[in-house]
Amino acid sequence: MADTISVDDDLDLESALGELERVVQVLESDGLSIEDSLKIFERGISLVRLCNASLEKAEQKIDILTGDLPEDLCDRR
Amino acid sequence: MSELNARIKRRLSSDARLNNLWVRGELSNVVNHRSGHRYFTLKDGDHQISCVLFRNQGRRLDFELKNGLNVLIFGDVDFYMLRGQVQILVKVVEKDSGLGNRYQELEALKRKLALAGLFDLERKRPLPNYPKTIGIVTSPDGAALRDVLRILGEYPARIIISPAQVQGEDAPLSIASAIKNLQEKVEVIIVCRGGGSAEDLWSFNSEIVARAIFQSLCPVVSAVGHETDVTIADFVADARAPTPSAAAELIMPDVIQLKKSLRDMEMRMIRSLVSSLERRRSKFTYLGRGLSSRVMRDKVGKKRYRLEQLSKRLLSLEIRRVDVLNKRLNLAQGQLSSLSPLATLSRGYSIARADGNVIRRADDVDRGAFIELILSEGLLKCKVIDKDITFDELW
Repeated sequence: MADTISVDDDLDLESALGELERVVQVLESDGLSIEDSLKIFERGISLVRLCNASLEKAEQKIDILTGDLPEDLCDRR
Repeated sequence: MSELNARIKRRLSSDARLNNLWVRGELSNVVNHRSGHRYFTLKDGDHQISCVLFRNQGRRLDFELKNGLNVLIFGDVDFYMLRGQVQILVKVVEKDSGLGNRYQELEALKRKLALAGLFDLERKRPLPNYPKTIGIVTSPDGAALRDVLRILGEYPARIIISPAQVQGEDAPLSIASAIKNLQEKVEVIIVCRGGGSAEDLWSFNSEIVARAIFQSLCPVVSAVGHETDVTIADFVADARAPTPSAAAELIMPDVIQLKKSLRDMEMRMIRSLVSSLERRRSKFTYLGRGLSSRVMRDKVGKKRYRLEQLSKRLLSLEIRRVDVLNKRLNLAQGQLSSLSPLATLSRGYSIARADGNVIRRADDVDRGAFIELILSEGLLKCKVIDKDITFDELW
């Protein structure tokens, strides 16, 4: 079980959330050994941190393909 | 003054090209005067001219003059000296089938594109849940762009504006190229423009725009005009929004909801880990011989109490502002990690292992076997001198 949960911090938000949902389900199901529970739990916590970080650290950026960005939008860059 | 106006009038009426002419345009400002004369303005884009249809000529008219109606008129250009105004003295008004043709063409194009599969529901792609890049095809000066950006707010994504002319003759080509220019640069594209007349929105009924949307590698959301305006672009797009603002709402995830569900999942993980530990405690081989059963129960009790406190605190956070939430969440995360079984070791428990496996029963090892005790700091290698399978003093 634990082997299917890889450590990959390049995950995007969507797959991180998907994996997190699976982690929670696995943890809530019975029959895991303590070692596996711990490993999965730690993976889950790191996924939560990863998701929070990607929501907070990312900033909005506005670009325009041709011409100049209208002045009223420049301060949003 | 009178001489001037008379000269202008003569000049106009002597010009053969300004007499007995046909003009095509749209009716507006139609006034049916009591006298039986009809006054109206003929419009075409930015141009207009006043017209008058006198009662005698008007008798032959077999339909009502209505604003917005497209007509062909036949008449003479005249100078109305009392007002110094150029006008057309109308002799004949006919309905212009031009717009009718246009709607027929539109229906024909719809049928053609439908047959070609451009409107097929099966080809509509789901919008990305958490787009990191968003393309907007619209006029950079328009209100539509500002509406979209206002809704997107601070949403962390790279937004690429692909400028397009959204009305006029060149608009269809301009919109289509703007869509093409975004290919492979973004995960989702909003094609939008604000409200306008059917005329203004007509570019979005063109085949070239329809094809560009169809060929887009990423999903396209169309938002043209207001709620009631539906264009071919809307039929081809993967999703249609009634307004540009609604398009932005459609592609943007609910960040607050997302953060809440992250907290929920974290709580669920902690709860299930703690409860699974409690279920298993009797199977563990604890070596904290100095601890009485009362102390052990206190420990479990404290752990529960602490979990409840944490749950309460986390739940109360929901009503706070998002950034406050996150600071608190980080704090909570630190505290939560102290509930990890690893931290339990620092309270005097240890984990017994033999050959890499956790020892749960005295029966798991033989007398004389070598086992490891994992402590909070370091590891003890031990030899089993004796064992008592029935020992359960702690519980």
